Amino acid sequence: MNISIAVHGDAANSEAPVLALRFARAAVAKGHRIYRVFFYHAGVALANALTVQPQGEVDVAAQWAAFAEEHDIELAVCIAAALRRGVLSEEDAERYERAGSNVRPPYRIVGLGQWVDAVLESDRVVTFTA
Amino acid sequence: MQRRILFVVSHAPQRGALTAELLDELLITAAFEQKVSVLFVGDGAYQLVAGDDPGTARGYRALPTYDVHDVFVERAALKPRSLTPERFVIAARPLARPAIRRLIGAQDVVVPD
Amino acid sequence: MGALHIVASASDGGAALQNCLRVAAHGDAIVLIGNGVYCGATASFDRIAKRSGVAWYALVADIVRRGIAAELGPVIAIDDGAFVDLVTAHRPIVSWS
Repeated sequence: MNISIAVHGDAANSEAPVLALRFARAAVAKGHRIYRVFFYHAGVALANALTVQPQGEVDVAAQWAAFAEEHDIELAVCIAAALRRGVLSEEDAERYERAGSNVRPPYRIVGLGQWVDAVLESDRVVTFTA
Repeated sequence: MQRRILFVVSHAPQRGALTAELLDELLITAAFEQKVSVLFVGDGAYQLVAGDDPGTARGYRALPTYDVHDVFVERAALKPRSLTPERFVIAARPLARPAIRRLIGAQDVVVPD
Repeated sequence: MGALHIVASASDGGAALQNCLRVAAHGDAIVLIGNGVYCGATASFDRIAKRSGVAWYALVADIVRRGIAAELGPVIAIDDGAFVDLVTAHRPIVSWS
């Protein structure tokens, strides 16, 4: 099946990204395709390249990045939610005259239309709440 | 293709940007001509009462403009919270449990708030 | 096919599960994940689960991590692969927090 995943919580304040990644790994192991992972609400924080995890602590944002690169999965981050929370692409940093951009590849800033597309193209959509 | 998408609101309002973001998601889904409906359950019923917050009320009032007319509220949520439909910022049809179950069962995708 | 409800929180006095139970239909399934597994450890849970008319599951990894493994009665502890199978066998998927 095509499965899309929505992540609504960030790593510092919720278990959502960890639970979502475990689910995604299991889905891939079962031969399903993760059509898109859509980060919304607080979940956009995973795309923030400026976070520094203490030594020895799990870096789930990095784990998602590695998983996505390994399996060619899109990590889509909603632009409006990202702007609100200070995750800016180079384009947005310039547009809004902010000191710098901080989107960590391979996370990609996209519009909400990409979420609707995921709903249309997927057999299942699973949301991991904050 | 047209999917049936239900937004379930189960939290009271005033949670930072979360309500505005839910409304954004809802309206864009409707703009893509999907079959969108909204269900307020439990404390989510409080979202239907305007209070002093024009932003939230304005957001919900936009639903009919986007052709979203299927707005429902859990009937059992009203009395314990002293809510009556006359106080709502938009028309929301109270649904009893069996109807709610049928509504959910008929969906392709359900979005939580 | 029935709906699959995912309950990921036990906070606010278990509000997520209470909301879920009021709208879940007979034949639906509920899976407790993350902090949602604490719902399965409350004293009243056994009674609630037995009259609910739904199938109960919980992620074993989350139960074990929280040290409540012995207490889940009518709930079937499943691994992540079985969770994926639940998702593909149900529609829609409804998440509660």
